[in-house]
Amino acid sequence: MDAENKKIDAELIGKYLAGEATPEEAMQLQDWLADLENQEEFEHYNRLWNLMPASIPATVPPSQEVWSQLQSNINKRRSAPVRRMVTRLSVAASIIAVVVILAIYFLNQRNSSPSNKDEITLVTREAADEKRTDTLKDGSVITMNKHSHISYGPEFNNVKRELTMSGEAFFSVVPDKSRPFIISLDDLTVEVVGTSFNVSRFPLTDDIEVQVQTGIVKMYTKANLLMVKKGQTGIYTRKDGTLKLKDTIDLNSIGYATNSFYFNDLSLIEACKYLSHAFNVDIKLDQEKFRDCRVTAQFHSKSLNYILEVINATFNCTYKREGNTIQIHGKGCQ
Amino acid sequence: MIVLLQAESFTNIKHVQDHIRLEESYKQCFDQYFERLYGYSFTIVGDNAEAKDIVQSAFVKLWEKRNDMNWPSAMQAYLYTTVYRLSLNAIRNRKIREGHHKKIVPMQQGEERNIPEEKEKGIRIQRAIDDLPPRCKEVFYKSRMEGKKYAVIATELEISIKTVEAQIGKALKILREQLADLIISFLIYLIIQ
Repeated sequence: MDAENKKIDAELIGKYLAGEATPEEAMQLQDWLADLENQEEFEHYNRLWNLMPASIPATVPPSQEVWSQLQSNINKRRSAPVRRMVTRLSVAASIIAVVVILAIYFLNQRNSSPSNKDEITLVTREAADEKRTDTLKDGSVITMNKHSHISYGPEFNNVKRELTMSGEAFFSVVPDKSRPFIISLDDLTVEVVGTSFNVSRFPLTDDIEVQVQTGIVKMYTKANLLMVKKGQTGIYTRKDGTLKLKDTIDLNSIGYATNSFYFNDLSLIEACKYLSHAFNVDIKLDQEKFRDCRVTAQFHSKSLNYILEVINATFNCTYKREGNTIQIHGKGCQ
Repeated sequence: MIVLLQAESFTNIKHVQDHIRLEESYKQCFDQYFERLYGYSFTIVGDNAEAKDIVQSAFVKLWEKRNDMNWPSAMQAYLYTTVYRLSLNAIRNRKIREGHHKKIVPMQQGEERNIPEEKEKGIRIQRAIDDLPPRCKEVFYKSRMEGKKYAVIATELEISIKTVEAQIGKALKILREQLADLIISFLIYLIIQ
């Protein structure tokens, strides 16, 4: 910086205002402006400059707005290669078997088990207000529901594929017996054993539910072990550390990731809860009027609008959307 | 905020603390420099939309360079240099209004302003410029009203760039004294607003 010791005067300020300042001079001026008195002097020249008839004033946009745009720009640049990866993977999907896991888990605590402390470094992928799908290094695909994230260390995919998570996520795991796929959730470990579709789920209570569509998932703590097979749900209760097995799964609860809904003589109110969860909206309807409405339908890869239209036609109702809130109006089924 | 941590390349970095620190310092850097860089770019391009794009691009580039950079000590210099380069490119690429290197809106002094006070103010400003020493006035006029680069002015008037700098500085000093009351009242007006 050759201008380091140069005095800030009208000449340099003029140079700056005229758009002639070098980066070094601009930085030097900014440092000088740290002083309030100097700010006042600069402001005088700046105003003078703007008094001139040919002037367009600088209007600094709100920095928060620019920051948001900046973030989306950075993410946009990144999304292109990710999309390519997903396409490549979908081709590969017909050859390899895939394990699917869904989990809801609310984790405030970081990994507390001492054996993992040094091992687990946390590269984080997060879904903020909307669900998002990501491909991991090993080719496994994860759909995270809103307000969820997964974290894993840089050694992920070396010896094993170990990660932790919070919120809700749906994993399509590429099978690889030499590198087990492990989700560490404090005391509980969920390990993918088989090479087929599995679903796991962890509800609000901080308990953990693993739903298995096909294949086998192993859930274990220091004291207990549970093998969860196709069509079953494994439930971990944090309070007493027990593992229980249920012989059903709830496919509709993972609609956000699968885009499939199986409503089989289901109450409309329940169906709307599933849809709200899957599409990140709040569907409201009169609990009394619609209490006896029941819906039987299957939807695969349909938009929310399409599904709502089907509901409208079936129950002779209408809906109005405002932001994330959808209000269903109608006489109901009394 | 963690949205920024999704890049695949992150798996190469050894410690999570580094990611988090990196991300935090990036945001801090944005908060600290956004307005300054915007102001700097605007002095060169004279266009709000362009200045915004330029500063955004500079920050995107900074993010892309995050792994090669001595962070955060080199950030400021990198940002200023990048903004400078992008701003110069922008005016170079600008084909509108040949000979005008900076966006300037020519306005008939005082005439388009209907308020008598404004008109009077305009006349005073014009008179103050007219009263500058001839060389000083000429240089100032070319820079401020015609938006010409110092180098262009120097060539046109067959003087050195250093002289252009000195003349502009001189003009500003004189005008600041002559128009002190207008500057102050303008400031007060802004504060009231």
